[in-house]
Formats: sequence, structure tokens, C-alpha cells
Amino acid sequence: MDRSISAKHVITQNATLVAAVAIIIAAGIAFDNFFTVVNLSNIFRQASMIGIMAIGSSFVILTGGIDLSAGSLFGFAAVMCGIVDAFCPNPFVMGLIAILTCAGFGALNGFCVTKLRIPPFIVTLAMMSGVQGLGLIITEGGNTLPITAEGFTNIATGTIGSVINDKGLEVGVVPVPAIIMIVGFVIAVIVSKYTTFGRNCYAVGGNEDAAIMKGISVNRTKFLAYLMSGICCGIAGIIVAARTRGGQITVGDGYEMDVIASVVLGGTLLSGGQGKVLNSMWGALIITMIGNIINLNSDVISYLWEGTITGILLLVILVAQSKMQSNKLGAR
Amino acid sequence: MSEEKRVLLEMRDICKSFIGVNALKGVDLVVREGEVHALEGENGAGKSVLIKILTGIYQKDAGTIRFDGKEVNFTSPAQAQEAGIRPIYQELTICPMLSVAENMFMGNEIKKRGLIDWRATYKRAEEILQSVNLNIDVRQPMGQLSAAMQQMVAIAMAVSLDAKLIIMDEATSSLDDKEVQSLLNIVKELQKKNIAIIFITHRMNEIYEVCERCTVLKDGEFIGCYDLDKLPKLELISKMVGRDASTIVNFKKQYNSDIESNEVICEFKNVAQGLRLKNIEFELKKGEVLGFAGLLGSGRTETGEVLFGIRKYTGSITVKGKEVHYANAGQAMKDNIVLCPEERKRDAIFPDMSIEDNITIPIMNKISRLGFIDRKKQAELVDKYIQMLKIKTPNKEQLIKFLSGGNQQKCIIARAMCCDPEIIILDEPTRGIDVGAKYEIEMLIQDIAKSGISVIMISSILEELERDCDRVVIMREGIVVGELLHEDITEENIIHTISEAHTN
Repeated sequence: MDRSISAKHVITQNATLVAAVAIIIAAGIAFDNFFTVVNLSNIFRQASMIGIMAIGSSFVILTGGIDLSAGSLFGFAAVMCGIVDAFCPNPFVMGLIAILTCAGFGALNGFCVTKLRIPPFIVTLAMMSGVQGLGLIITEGGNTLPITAEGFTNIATGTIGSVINDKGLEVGVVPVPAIIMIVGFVIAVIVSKYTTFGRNCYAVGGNEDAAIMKGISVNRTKFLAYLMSGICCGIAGIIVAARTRGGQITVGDGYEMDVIASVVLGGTLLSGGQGKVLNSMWGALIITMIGNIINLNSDVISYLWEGTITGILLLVILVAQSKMQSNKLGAR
Repeated sequence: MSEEKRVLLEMRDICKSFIGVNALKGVDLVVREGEVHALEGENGAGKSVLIKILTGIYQKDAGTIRFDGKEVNFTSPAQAQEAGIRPIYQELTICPMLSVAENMFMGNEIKKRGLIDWRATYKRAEEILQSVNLNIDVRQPMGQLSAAMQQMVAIAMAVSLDAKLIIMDEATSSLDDKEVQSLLNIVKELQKKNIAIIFITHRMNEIYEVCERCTVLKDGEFIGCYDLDKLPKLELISKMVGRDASTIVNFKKQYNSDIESNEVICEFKNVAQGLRLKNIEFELKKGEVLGFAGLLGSGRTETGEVLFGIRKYTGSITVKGKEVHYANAGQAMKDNIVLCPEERKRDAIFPDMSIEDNITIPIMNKISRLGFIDRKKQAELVDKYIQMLKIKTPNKEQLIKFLSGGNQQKCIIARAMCCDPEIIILDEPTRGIDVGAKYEIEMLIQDIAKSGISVIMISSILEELERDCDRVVIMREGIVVGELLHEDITEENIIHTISEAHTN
């Protein structure tokens, strides 16, 4: 009896992971080209960018805010890599400047939300279109800035460990971006659970007035969350630049929605104050897998269906989640 | 102990104005060590501004504050808390989704090597709660505790942090009698530990039970500081409302035998709902004020909600002679039943809408033509109720959130009235409302009943039921345990009926 309750508890607590595993198993059974080393490591490589941005967005959303500028910042980081590459083709310098730039935008978001008291939705919406516009000006209408720096592409294409596939070729197993994402999530989990900043995010999002009364600096907490979101976008932007060997502003168009969807799929409430940061990673994997499965089977399903199917699946998963939540709380 | 206790807090000549409005005009507040000091006044008297200055949320414009022997000027809540001033607010201080332990240590986390040490946090939280005899699971979300429990957790926490002065602002307003009693007992315990308490409440009995002295404010002015054993309750209320209060305090509804022979407008037979209601039976007569008494969780609110169609039930309910099965509030309202909920802020008001729209929202359809609201008709209606209910507001376009609790409640009653109700259910109609407005609302209830409307009045304030009701139904744990009529309705009889049911 006790065991069954605790098993149910584990499932409701980790609903997103359960959904992700279910999709992997179902897809593995249904499509034989899904469960291959190449494809799985591809999924992780793709998911890493959304996942890394979802780390920052998780904290922003926990505070009750939202970051709509993630996609633009992501694209702009790639553009920055391209700009720096032109006069200083050093991966470290390129990465550092890209991250600092995005950190600056994130800080600006934070400043507007806290000091100017503008709603996060408006601030980051303005930032989204402002940064994208800036990127278009710099790249003269959205051209791709070529990247030639030696070793830079390893950030995206490098792997650790390898196996021989059925064609006798050596293929990598764990892509570097996935490692970056996982390390990022490990840090994020520790921050969210064991640091004052992390807990303050929950407190601020849960009840801002209570946080003020307890002497928590609400502004500092929110500012740090937006700053962090900016930095995460920078890191993800470097990966996409390395992956495409170029900096293009439009590469992140619409990504902010995938990022937010990942966080929400992870069970974090958009109203703030509740959620587990790690679950955003499973959310990112689910989003990526849906696209991947459709792409793999383009002979059966037209790629045109991707948006519709993603939408329906998101809805189904979220409805299931909220059902589980209300069962847990006991309906009135 | 004949010698005067040491003065802990001395606020002198405190002034504060907001954009041209003088909120405080030279107010004094002197609290001694180990004293329970009541701070009283109607809404808008300046109590909360004074407290916010003391706790560092607002800055004073003029005056001096001395605390614990030093002149202080707190510029943030953190500074005030560090000095030993711990406010306990009714609603503001919890994050419902975080655990009890986490709420307790928020802003003051226990850390090991820079990271939060959860094991130590839980252990310490348990110790603190046990020190005031609270045995609860500190890992459960704070939101799962009752309001009373949350208060006690907050108090336990304040004590553990070496509080010298605890401020309890409306701490008892949402508690039932039993919970209030245990809270007051804790207050007495604190007093023994030489902790001073500023106690703010609208309930006069509580003041006289635990407080020694009382500072009264009115309209931002300092009226005086009194020893309560030399100031009868009636005089205190008179000072607060600024006029002789004897007529309102001594009111008792006249016995009217006609009502008993009135037709039955609503009848409950064998009504049950899950574990909350069991076999509820009562009759409601036309023009009657029927009170519902009982402790929190006795099923009073649920009974009202069943009648209003927002709670599922089994059994039979008859309204105006025909059996009804309301599936939602809309159906109940079609039969002219309205309800004013107990959580006014959460369930009744639309804070950012005008009082005009707030009052007429349920009848928008009736005052519309081709889907457009007839603004003229709306204005006429609203003006009528503002006058009738004496709602104090500069104009009817004012946002309801800027009104005092009492005036908000009047708007909610006006909203009910404009539906032309035959049955009106009032759940805790005077909660969180200051003395003056409270009596006005009680008089209003009499007027409503006189006009032939049946009133169901759910209240945890027994003296209110004693004053206003023709008949009182007493509930306990989902069962009707007794009924009192007219002269028999007294606080003692109600308490007696409840406790008797307990022993059986």
C-alpha cells in the first residue's frame, strides 16, 4: 500500500520525465530509425540549445516573469561570434564576447523590469524586436556572417566516446553541447535548491509581498534571473554559431516559444513560484523529439504537420499534467 | 509588580502625508516591555501607516522613534527586524507553495558551506514549533495549514528570533473562537517572556482579554492612550467612532411574533455533502434573520454554498414551495437567491473596476439594451444604493480597491440588493471591518429583513448573532446540533449548545 502510494508520488513529481521516456519508448518501437546512436545524439545536440536557454527562463518564470527575448538574444550571440571572428578568430574571445553581450541585454531586461517597473512581457517583447532589428542592421538584412576560427565548430560537433555503426564508420556518442546542457542543469538544480538566490526566486514568484516583508530583495532576485537568462541565451547562441559555422540573426526566430514551452512542459507555473528546474530539460527533450520524429518520417508525415502535431501533443501533455496536479491536491 | 515597566518603544509626534493627504498628524505610541498594547481606530485612522513606519516600510515626515533605548529610523523592513521588531500580518507573509520550514527561514536561511542545509532547516523548524507545542509536518506546503496554524507558525518563528516587539495586525480576523483562544493564550505566554506586543483587532472582546493599555487613533490624529481597566468598552468604542456609541452597542433585535407565522421560503431536508455536511435540516421564513453559528469547519459556509448552488449535495432543498436542484450560482440567482462570500477580497470584489460596475455586475443584462449597457439606468441604480447604504466614496467611478473594507462590503451588499433578492446569504458580513462600519452593516441587515427579504447570516462573532437574529441554527462538525429563538439567543447559550454537543 505504502509502496504504491510512493510510486504514484514519484510519477506525479516527475511527470515530464515519464512523458519523455514514454515518447522515447513509443517512438523506438514505432520507427526503427529513431533508436539509433546517431539519432539520439542528434536529438540531444538539438535539445541542448533550447535546454540551455530553458535554464535561464526557468528562473525568470519562477519569479513570475517571462523572457520573450530569448530567441533574439540567441541569434544575436551567433552574430557576435561572426563579428568577432572577422578580426580575432579565437573561440574563447568569440564566446566570451557573445556571452557578455547577451548578459548586457539580459541586464537591461532586468533593469527595466525592476527599476523602471515595466511588466516583463512588455520589456522582453520590446527587447525581442529591438535586438532582432539590431542584428538585421549589423548583418545588412540577415546575411550569415561566416565563421572560420579554428576549433570553434568543436563546440557543437565534438563528441565524447564513440561506437562503430553498422556501416563500419566511427560515430560519436555524447555531443559536447549535451554535456554543456547537463552541466548547466546540474548547476541550476543546486542553485535552485540550495542557494538563497534560488529560493528567493520561488518566494518572489509565490508571493512578492511576503518576500518584501521578509526582507528579501525582490529587485535583486529578478535582476539576477534576467541576467542569467541572457547569459544562457549567449551560451546557446555560441553552440548554434558553431553548428552552422556562421552567425545569422534569424536563426533564433520563434525559439523563445520553444523555450517557454519546455519550461511549462516541465510543470513550472507561468504565474511563478512553483516548479522544478530540472524538469525543463525533459521539456526541451520532448519538444525536440516531436520535431525529430516528424523529420525522420517525412515520407509518412509531411513536415508541414510539425506545428500542428506539436501543438496537439503539448496540449495533451499539459492536460494530463494538470489532471495529475488536481488529483494530488484533491478537487473541491 | 508595582513599579513601572521599562519603556521599550516610544514614538512621538509622528507625522506622515501622502500627496497632500495627512495620514498621520502627530501621533504618539508608547509601549512598555512585556506589555500587550492595543492599537485601535476605524479604518483610515492611520493604524497601518503608523505600523508601516515603525517596521521601516514607510519613512516618517516628522517625529522621533526610540526603540530599546536608542533613537532609530528604519529605512527597510530588514533593519526593523534586526532590531527585534517582528510584524505578523494576516495575509501577506506566506508563500503557500513553499514548505512550512522554508517559509519560516525565508530571508534567513540556515547554510553550510554557502549552500542551504535542508536537514538542519527542517530540524530547527521542528524544534521551534515544538517549543510552542505545535506538532506539524514542517515539510508540507504552508498553504495546507489553516489560517490559525499559519499565524502560530509565524509567531513561533518571531519568538525564536529574539523578538522584543511583536506586531499582530488583524491576526485573529479570520480565526474562529477556538482558534482565537489558543492564539490569545500564546499572546499571554509571550507576555510572560517579557515580549511586548502591539495588538490590532476589530474585536473588542479580545482587546479586553489580553491588552493592558490602548492607543486610539481617529482620522490620523492621536486621541489618547488609556488604561483599559479604567475604560469601559462602550467608552472605548465611542472614542474610536468619535460619538456616543451606546445606542448601537446596546442594540438588540425586538422580538416579533409575526415572523414566526410567516411563510417558509426555503427548507432543507436531509441535506448532506461528503464529510462536511450530514443530514442538515432547517426552515427559513420570509423576512427572518436566521443566524448560523458554529466553529470553523462546522459546515456553516458549506450550507450557504449548497443553497447557492456552488456545492454539490444530496437530499432535498425546497425554495418557495418547489423542490430545486441548482447546478450553479446562476440558477440560484434566477430564484432570487444571492450570496455575499466570506472572503471579500478573494471571492467578491473586482479590485480594478469602479464601484458602479462592481455593484451592477450581476444585472448588466437587465440594464442593457441590445447588448449595450444603459449607463443612465446604471447610474440611477448605483446612486440609489450609495445613498441607501451610506457608501462613503468621492464618486461612483472610484475603483473599489480604494475603499475601506466596510465600504467595500456595503458595495457587495448593494450588489446583492440590486438583484431584487428574496433570500440573501451573508457569510461573515462584518469580517475585517472596523467598529463604526460594523454597526452600520448590522443595522443594514435589519433594514433588509424589514423589507421582507430573508437573511441567512453566517458569523463566528456570537454577540453579532445575539444582536441581529430572530433565530440561530447551531452547527457542529457538519450536523445541526441546536436552534435558539429570540431571547434565548445569547453568547452563553450558543457556546453551551456547541460544547454540549461535544460531550454527547
